[in-house]
Amino acid sequence: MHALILYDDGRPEAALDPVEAVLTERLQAAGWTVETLRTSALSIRPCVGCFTCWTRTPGECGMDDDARTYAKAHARSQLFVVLTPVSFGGYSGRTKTALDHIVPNIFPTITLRKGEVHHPLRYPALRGWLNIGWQPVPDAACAETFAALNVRNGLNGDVKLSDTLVFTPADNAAARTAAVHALLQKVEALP
Amino acid sequence: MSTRTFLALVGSPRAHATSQVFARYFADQLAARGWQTEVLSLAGAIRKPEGWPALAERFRDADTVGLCTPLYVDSLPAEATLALERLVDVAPTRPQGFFALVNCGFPEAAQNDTALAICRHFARQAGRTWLGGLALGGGGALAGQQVEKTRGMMPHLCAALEQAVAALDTGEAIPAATQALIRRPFCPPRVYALMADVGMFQDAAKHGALWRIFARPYAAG
Ligand SMILES: Cc1cc2nc3c(=O)[nH]c(=O)nc-3n(C[C@H](O)[C@H](O)[C@H](O)COP(=O)(O)O)c2cc1C
Repeated sequence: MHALILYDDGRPEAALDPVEAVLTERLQAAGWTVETLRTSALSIRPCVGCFTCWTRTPGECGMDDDARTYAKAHARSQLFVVLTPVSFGGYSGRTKTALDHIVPNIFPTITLRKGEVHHPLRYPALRGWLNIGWQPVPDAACAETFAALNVRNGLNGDVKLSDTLVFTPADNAAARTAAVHALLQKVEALP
Repeated sequence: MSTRTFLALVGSPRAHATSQVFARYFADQLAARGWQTEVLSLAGAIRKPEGWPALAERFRDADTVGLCTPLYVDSLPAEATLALERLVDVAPTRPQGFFALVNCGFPEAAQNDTALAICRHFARQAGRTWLGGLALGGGGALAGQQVEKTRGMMPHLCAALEQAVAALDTGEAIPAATQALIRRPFCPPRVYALMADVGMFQDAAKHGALWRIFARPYAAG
């Protein structure tokens, strides 16, 4: 089983570094292979909305850069964890620069999911999509939107487990570790 | 009374975007009512940093700002997000109102709700007054047409936009009834899905990729 961690490590405080370490260690101990893509090490041009990846080179972005690295890693994973600063209740811009390139991994055709229109997936669905957000200044309303976004992404991706944690400076290292452990227990409990 | 100023921000990275059509519509309608208006692209200012100071200045000084953007992965496109992360620190020189119109590919307007919440949180964190959010499903159906040309197919869209402009012109928030009106689906989801599928297959055929449309280049093994 393969886990992909997409980590926006670009903010100076690097607050999620210890979380990433705990996450990786715990996943590896449970038998997962873990691949981490750090936004600081990725060279990705933002999606330009051209749909080349649907109608010209189906399944592949027209731009040959790390957008393809990300999409390929995503396609081959069973667990996806996003570590990101929370921007207004969404992903950070750097995280989103990679994430928008998820589109090659879905088919252009249409399916209905929970009564809503969505796209069928080009690859097997993820078992879990977990969001771990960082707020240097706590903002409960944004944290709520961030969790709702994770649920929406989960529906689009037909994911079994969608879940979100948001950390602030008020959470000490022990609290963060405990929260990550509890989250991964839910992954391990998946049928 | 000095001339009121309106800035329309385009959140789409595409050159002929539906978002651009809406941004232009708001700018033209308010200009006809005596406002000084401008349309600027967020992706443009991110790609060409020399455009950034002008964007930040307009954003600082406008009376009203409207963000017209597509939905990307249930939220805002990357470049729009990168731009808002910078604009949030640009303090307004006067009380400023901010509204957003989000359009998405799927026919259900509700799919835009997380993105509208993100726009609302941005307005609050940037110290702007939230004037409301407009959620439009099936934005692709506009196919870059002028708003007026869609009156036959989407009468409620035109009516909602006219009501929104009337409210903005008087400095009011977009009424809840207007925000509800624009959400009305203009055709059943299955019909829209069929139209979208046909369009996509035609496009793939045009580019000689029809037989590869279900390719899986990253399949493991
Ligand atoms: C990278 C990307 C992600 C998208 N994600 C969604 C989505 O999550 N939900 C949806 O309904 N449409 C999604 N769309 C479709 C766009 O929202 C739709 O095509 C929209 O009409 C484009 O508006 P524009 O012309 O203003 O760019 C996505 C498109 C792209 C290119």
